[in-house]
Amino acid sequence: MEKKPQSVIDELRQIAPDLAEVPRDEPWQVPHNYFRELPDAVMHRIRDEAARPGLVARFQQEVAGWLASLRQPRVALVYASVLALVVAAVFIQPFAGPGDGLLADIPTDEALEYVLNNLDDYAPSEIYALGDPGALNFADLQDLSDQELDEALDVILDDLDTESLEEIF
Amino acid sequence: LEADVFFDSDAATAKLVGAIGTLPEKQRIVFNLRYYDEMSYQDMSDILQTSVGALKASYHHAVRKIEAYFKGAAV
Repeated sequence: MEKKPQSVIDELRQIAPDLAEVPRDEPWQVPHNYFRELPDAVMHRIRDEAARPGLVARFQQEVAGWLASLRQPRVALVYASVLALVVAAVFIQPFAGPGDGLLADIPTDEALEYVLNNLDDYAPSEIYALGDPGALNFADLQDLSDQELDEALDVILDDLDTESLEEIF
Repeated sequence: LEADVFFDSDAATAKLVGAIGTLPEKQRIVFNLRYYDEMSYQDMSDILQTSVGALKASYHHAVRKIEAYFKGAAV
């Protein structure tokens, strides 16, 4: 039967003899007068927390302080100037349409491909406008003969991507 | 550890403290109570609400891990 360890070191020596040789000193030092001053430090912290206003009260104090600062002419002038600049920037800046900048970023090839893939969604006048907008007016088409109309359409189609047309048809 | 102003010990003890820091929480508690405070397993059982056998096993595993830590550091 194994002998009962008489001490922690004896027990440790049975499990890990090398570890039992390590000095068993307390490596940590307590700051000077730490435990003597600890109760007072805790009580001070509790009192400070209790005296500290709540979140809502602090917010109200902040707002009250800000409003009080507006009574000073210089501060009020600064805030008014900033507000005027913001308002001016909002109203003076030209208002751009919802898609004015967006379409300009789309490459012409991609736009053309989209139109060709969705020809049914477009009115004939819109398709004709893909050509030279100054050269052809939809209203003028009504006065054209069938041959002239075909020639006009050929002019437009020549400008389009032939491969795309073949994919559709 | 060495940079801590409240840590004052030799290299071996510093290594031991480092090894203890790698232990799981339960093993670390058991090892500290047994090794530094020389608390009996029965007292530990009352405090930690764990059986004496489990505490002995936990201490045994902790010591093995620390020993392996020392051997690994020595390699």
